[in-house]
Amino acid sequence: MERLFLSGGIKIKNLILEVVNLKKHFPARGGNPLVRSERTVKAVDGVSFDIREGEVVAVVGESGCGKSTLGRLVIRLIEPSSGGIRLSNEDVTHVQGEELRSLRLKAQIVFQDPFGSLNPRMTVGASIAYPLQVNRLFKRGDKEGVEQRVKELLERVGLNAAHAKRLPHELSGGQRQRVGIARAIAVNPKLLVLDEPVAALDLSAQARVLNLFKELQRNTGMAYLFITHDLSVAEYIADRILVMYAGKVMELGPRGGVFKTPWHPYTEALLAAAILEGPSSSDATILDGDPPSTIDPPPGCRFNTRCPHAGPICAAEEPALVEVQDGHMVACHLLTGKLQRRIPASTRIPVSA
Amino acid sequence: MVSLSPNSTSDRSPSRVMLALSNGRRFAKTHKSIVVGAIMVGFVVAMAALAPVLSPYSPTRIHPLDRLAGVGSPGYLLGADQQGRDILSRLMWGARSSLAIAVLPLTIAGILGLVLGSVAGYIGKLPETLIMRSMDVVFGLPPILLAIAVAATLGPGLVNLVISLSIVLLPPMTRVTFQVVTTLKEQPFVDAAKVSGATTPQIIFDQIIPNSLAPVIAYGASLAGSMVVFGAGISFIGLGIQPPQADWGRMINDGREVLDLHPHVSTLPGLAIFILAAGFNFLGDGLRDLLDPRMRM
Repeated sequence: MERLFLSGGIKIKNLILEVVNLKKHFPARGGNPLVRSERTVKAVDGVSFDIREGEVVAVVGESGCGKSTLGRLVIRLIEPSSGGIRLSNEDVTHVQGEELRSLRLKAQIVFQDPFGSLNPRMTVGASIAYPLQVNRLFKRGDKEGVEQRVKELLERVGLNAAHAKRLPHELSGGQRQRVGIARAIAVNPKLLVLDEPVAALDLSAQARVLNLFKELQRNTGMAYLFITHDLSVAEYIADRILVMYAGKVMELGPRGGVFKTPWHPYTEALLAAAILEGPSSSDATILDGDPPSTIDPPPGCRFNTRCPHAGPICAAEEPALVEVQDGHMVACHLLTGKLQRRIPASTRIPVSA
Repeated sequence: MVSLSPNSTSDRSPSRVMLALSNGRRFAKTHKSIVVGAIMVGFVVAMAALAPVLSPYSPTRIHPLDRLAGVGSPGYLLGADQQGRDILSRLMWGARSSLAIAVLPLTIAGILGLVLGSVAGYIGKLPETLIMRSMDVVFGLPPILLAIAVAATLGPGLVNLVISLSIVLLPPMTRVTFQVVTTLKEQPFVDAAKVSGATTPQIIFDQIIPNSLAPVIAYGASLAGSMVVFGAGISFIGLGIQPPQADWGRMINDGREVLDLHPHVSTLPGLAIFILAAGFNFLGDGLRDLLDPRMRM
C-alpha cells in the first residue's frame, strides 16, 4: 500500500496531505431495473496532489467537475473507490472507528451552506462545543473550560461571547459561516477543507469572510484545501491552483504560473470567461456546450469535446500530467508534443495586463 | 453616556410585554385550529384534574331512588343513569381514562418509534430491514383483533388497553420518524457532526432525534383523537375499563338499553368523546401546520 505514494511512505517533515491517484466511482442509477447496468459515475478519477504545511491549495472548476467530492474524500466523509490519502504522513485511506475519529482532530471541513450546516436546535455555543465534547478534549463536567474555549473561538472568528446563546436562525449568513469556521477550528486541525465557503454569501460578507480565512491562516499556520468555482477568490487566497475538469486534474501549479501563463486550453477558457472585459477579449476562447457526462466518460482527454485545439489524438489517448515548469503540471497533448495549437499562443489572455 | 444603557433596557421591558401580547394575538389569528383545539382539550383536562374537587358525587355511588333522572333534575345537572349514578360526576372521572388512553400509548409508542425509526433511518442496511419489515408485520394486524387478543391473554383493563394501543401505534410512529430521518440525515449539519468525530449513537441522539421531534409530535397529536374513539370502542365492547370504574365508552354501553326513552345516558358521554376527539384533531392539525419543516423559517 505504501508504494502507492510518491513519498514512498517516507516521512516528509512538512507534508500535510498527500493524495495519490484518488478515485471515486458511484454506481449510476436509472435504466432498466431488471438488467443490472454496469455504468458508473466517475466523479473523481485519478487525482494526485499534495499540500505542505501552511499552504493554501485552491481547487477550481465548473460545477459537477468533482471538486466537492474531492474535498469530501480527503476528509473521509465518503469512501474512496481507490487511490491513497496520507495525512501528516499517516495512511488514512481506509482507517475506521477510533482511528478515523482521531483523523477528525487533524482535518476539518467548512461547508458551503451556512444555513444547513448548523443544527437548527442547537445554540451557537453548543454547536461549537460539540467537537470538543465528543472528542473529550475537556474533562467531563468542565463546563467553564468549554465555555472559555467557545468564547475564545467566537472571538477568533470575529463574533463575541454573546453569540454563544443565539440560535442559528437569529444570525446572518456571514455570521453563521463564522460559526461553522469556529466549529471547524475548535480542535486545532492542521488541514481545513473549505467547500465553497463563501459561495452562499453576499459580496461584502464574502470579502470579510475571505479576510478572516487569510488572517486565521496567517495566525495558525493551517493548510487549506480551498474549493471554489470563483477564480478571483482562488487568486486572492491560494498559493497553488488545481484546475479540475470532469473528475480529472487539468493543470496544477503555483498561482502566478497558472493565472499568468496558463498552459491548458481549459484553464485559458476559464480565465477568459472570468475576465470578460474590453474588446481585446473578443477573440478569446469562450466555451460552447457543457462538460461531458461523468457517467462512462469518453476515452482520451476529458476536454476534447470542447477544446478549440483538439485533434484525433485527444479522443484516443489520455494525456499524462507533464511538468512544464517547476511545480507547474499540465495534462494536455499540446505539451506531449502530439498536437499543434490551432490558435497562436500569442492570443493567450494576458491576465494582469 | 453611562446612564444610556440602563435607561434603554428599562424602556424596553414594557414594550417587550406588548410585543409578546401582540405576538400572541397574531398567533391566535393565524393558528385558529391550535387555539380551538387547545381550548377543547384543555377543558377536558381541567375537568379530569378537578374531578375530586368539583364532581358533586362519587362516580360509583348508587342512588336507586334517582335512577334515570333527566338532565337538569334537582341535584343531577346532567341526570343519572339506570343505577342512579350522577352522569356529570361519571363524565368528569371518565375523562381521566379517556385522556390516559389518548396520551399514554402515544407517548410510549412515540418514544420507541423515535428510537427505532431513527436507527433504521440513519443507519439503514440491516437494521432498517429488520426494524421496518417487522413493523410491516405489526401493521398488518387489525387493531381491534390485536386489542381483543391482548385482552384475552392478559385480561381486560386500562393497563392492558394501553399496552395493546402502544403496539398498534408503534408502526405508524416508527414509519413517520423513519421518513423524517431519511431526509434529515442528508442535511450538512449531520455531516458536520460526523466530521466533528461524533459516533453513530451520538449523532442519532444529539442531532437526529431533537430535529425529528417536532414533526413526530405533530403527527402523534393528530392520532390522539382517533385513539380516544378507539379506546372508547374497546371499553364499549367490554375489553377496556372495567365497571364500576367510570369510562365514556362503558357509559355509552350502559345507556344502550334505555336509548329510546332516556337518550341522555348514552349521548352525553358520546358528546364528551366528540369534544375530546375533535379537540385533539384540531390541535394535531394546527401543530402539524406549525411544525411542518417546510413551513419553518
